[in-house]
Amino acid sequence: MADYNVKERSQWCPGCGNFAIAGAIRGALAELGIAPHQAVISSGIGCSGKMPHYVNCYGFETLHGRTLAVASGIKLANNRLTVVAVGGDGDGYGIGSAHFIHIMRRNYDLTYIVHDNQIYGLTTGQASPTSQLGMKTKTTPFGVVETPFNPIATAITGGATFVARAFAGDMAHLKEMMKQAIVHRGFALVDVFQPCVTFNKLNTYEFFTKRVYKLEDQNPKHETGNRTQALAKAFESFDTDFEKLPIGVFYKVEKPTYEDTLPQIKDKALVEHELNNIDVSQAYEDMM
Amino acid sequence: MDFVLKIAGQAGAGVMTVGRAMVKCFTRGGYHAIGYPEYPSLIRGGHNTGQVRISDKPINSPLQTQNLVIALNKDAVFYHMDTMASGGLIIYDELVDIGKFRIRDDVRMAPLPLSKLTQEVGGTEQMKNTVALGAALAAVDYPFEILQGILRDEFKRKGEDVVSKNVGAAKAGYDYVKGKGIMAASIKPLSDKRSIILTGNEAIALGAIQGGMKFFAAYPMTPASSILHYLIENERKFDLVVKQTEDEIAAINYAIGASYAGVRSMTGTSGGGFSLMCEALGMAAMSETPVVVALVQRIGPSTGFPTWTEQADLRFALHASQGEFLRVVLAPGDVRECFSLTAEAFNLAERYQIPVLVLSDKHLSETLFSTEKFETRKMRIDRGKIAKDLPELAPMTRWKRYELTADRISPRALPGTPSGVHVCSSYEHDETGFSSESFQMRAKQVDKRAGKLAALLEDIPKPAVYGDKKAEIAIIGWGSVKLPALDALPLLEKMGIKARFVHFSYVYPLDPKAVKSALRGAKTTVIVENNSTAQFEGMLREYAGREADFTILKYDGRPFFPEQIAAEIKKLSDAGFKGQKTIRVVETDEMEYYNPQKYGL
Repeated sequence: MADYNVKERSQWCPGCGNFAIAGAIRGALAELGIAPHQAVISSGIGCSGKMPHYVNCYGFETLHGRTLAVASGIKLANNRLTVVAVGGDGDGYGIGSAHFIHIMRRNYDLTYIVHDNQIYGLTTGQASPTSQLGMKTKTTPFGVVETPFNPIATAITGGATFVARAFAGDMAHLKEMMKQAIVHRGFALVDVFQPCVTFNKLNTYEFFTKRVYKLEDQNPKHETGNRTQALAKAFESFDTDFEKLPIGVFYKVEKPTYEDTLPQIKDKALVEHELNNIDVSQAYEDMM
Repeated sequence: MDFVLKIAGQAGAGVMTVGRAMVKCFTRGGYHAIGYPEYPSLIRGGHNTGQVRISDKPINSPLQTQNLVIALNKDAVFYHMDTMASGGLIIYDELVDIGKFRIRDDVRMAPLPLSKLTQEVGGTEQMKNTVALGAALAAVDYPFEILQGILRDEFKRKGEDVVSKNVGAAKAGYDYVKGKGIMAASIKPLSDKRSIILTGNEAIALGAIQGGMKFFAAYPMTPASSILHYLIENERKFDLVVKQTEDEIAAINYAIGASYAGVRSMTGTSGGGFSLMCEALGMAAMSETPVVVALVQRIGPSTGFPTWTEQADLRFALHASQGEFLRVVLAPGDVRECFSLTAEAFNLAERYQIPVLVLSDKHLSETLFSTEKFETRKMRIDRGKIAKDLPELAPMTRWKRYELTADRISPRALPGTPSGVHVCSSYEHDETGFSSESFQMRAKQVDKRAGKLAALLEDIPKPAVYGDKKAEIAIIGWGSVKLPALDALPLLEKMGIKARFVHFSYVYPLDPKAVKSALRGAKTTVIVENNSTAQFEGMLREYAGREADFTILKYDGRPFFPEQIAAEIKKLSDAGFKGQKTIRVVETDEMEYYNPQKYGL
């Protein structure tokens, strides 16, 4: 099986949810039989930004908020690659939110994994777009007053074709979500509840363990093709004051990818195009 | 023969389209032609002009005065009556009351029943400009058949009915002017030599295509948008992927991602968009990912004058983004350089694994020029060091993407290459790309990236010297100043002043030796720049230890006209090249295109 391991020890806080996410990414890619040289991981900046260091494939640690934009460029240049973008909640839902909104409309065939720890970790504990109402942080000493961002609902309404949530405390399920997301043709979001053991004293492993439940265990079964049902589930955490936190696949639909609309990369990836026989003289007709 | 024709009217009246058609007409007849547009940042309501200069000899720049104006409305008469050449002719819509205008005695006036003619041929309001186009060509005695051919080519996609309607409209204007014997000049076709016509932006786009660019991402911004338009229109013809993104930040990050994946990539914008790209420019440098950025300058700071020209982003291009890193700044001086330098930008970007900026401006990028077809046979694509067939990596290790090599350039392993896995990073890193805060490694990586400069300088051509190469007066310019400066040389010669023009299209890095040799024997140096702080003069002092004697600066929105450069140098010459170092040129023409209402017309 393909080996995505690295020698270096991960530099995250002991107990950080990122260990599970890194392990799940390595496991998912390996179990799907993707060769490490055919996979690219892009990341933004933040604790999650270190991910390319700990998964031994091609990796690009970009700028804060830009993981999706760089990943999009990579995918369009070489649509034969497996492209996984990772980022944090601040990275993707805060500074990089424009890219998040628009990538969903485009439906590139890539996977986006958000390490959603509801706090800014690497900058030592400021409120993030997903910080829970009332939570006290360095920048919200009197408690968060802004409504938390709802990534799942945003993704469903924004055009994402695969929307899932996982929990870093359930590695087997997390890996399964990633595998499904990677296999899915189109833009796939996996928002991961990832406890920040250092700066988030509210959303701990214990907090999540008590509250998460799996959508696939529901009776009657959750219909992933039903947008209305998916949206209702996306608001459940909000509606229950974060007492009930569904995880699993909320929504999944098949749609043509952006790449499917480009005949110029149908037979050959853009990177495989020959550059030595270009002749602009065919443009002259319109210029005379 | 040197003739200037101008069509002018309200924004939205199709003035730009007529300008382009006229440039095409005269180019098909073997003339050199330039189509210079002026327009305010409005879709309707402002004043638009298309100036077409025609000559049997090579020309480079639009001029200040006109021989013939086709005025589509009242404003157009008022705006241009004072800049008419002596003996010039204004053909105006007969509905315009010109009674109140103080028109010079040496300007001739001829009314044209624009609306009536248009109605007679069953044309719509928008077809008035086609009638005017026919009228203009008749007034210079140019054969109708050439125009007919152009209208046919232009409208054939819309069907035979549209073609015949437009030909009919043009013919109505043409026959009326001929019938009345209205004549401004007699311009007969010289040959059927087929030159091409294109704007600076189209030449940049074409140069990028020829240079192997396969991926372009951009967000619309005047005056850079037409690069995006041209590339998207031709996306499938040339097998490109062109993406309009949500903002400029995305655009450059897409381009960097695509380049990292092995595709020659580019973005294009103006100053405001480039401001948003700065952070990513630094990432391209830190991660040694090649990227080409076309920065088409307009007036700043902030939103500025969106549709007018300036060369004030040179220092910005030079210093954009935090930290210190090597980059190349190219500033084409004409459409041929737009083509060749943009193509070359990709070779430099990939050879040195650095960002390369192509610095144009509104004037060069939106003006239409006739030129000979580009010579592409000698152009080469050099992709620099790209690793292939790598030895197998030991388990759990990475390829040394940032290996400290003797020539400071380490091979790139493109994603998909077996055994090439590594981290590409915006962080400082070790040889495998792994983040490192080792003081020694930091210093070595800085030296590695900066140390490419020596080889790069060897690669950069010397500045071009035009005119009398040994003349004691050296006019110095960069980028689009080449256009008016070259046309100022013959004017100066007529005034008895011998001058050379030293043009920098490779503006950074600057080689002090090359500067010295281009200026050898020059007793008086005069820098001409479209900005208010003489930015390039500062660069010459900083990088070449050379201070100019005079700087002629213009920052009012218009480019320099050849007449203005010649006049200022004549004044300096008359004063024995003594006096204030800084000379500021401002248009005396008070007509503001944005707000015609203020003249109470």
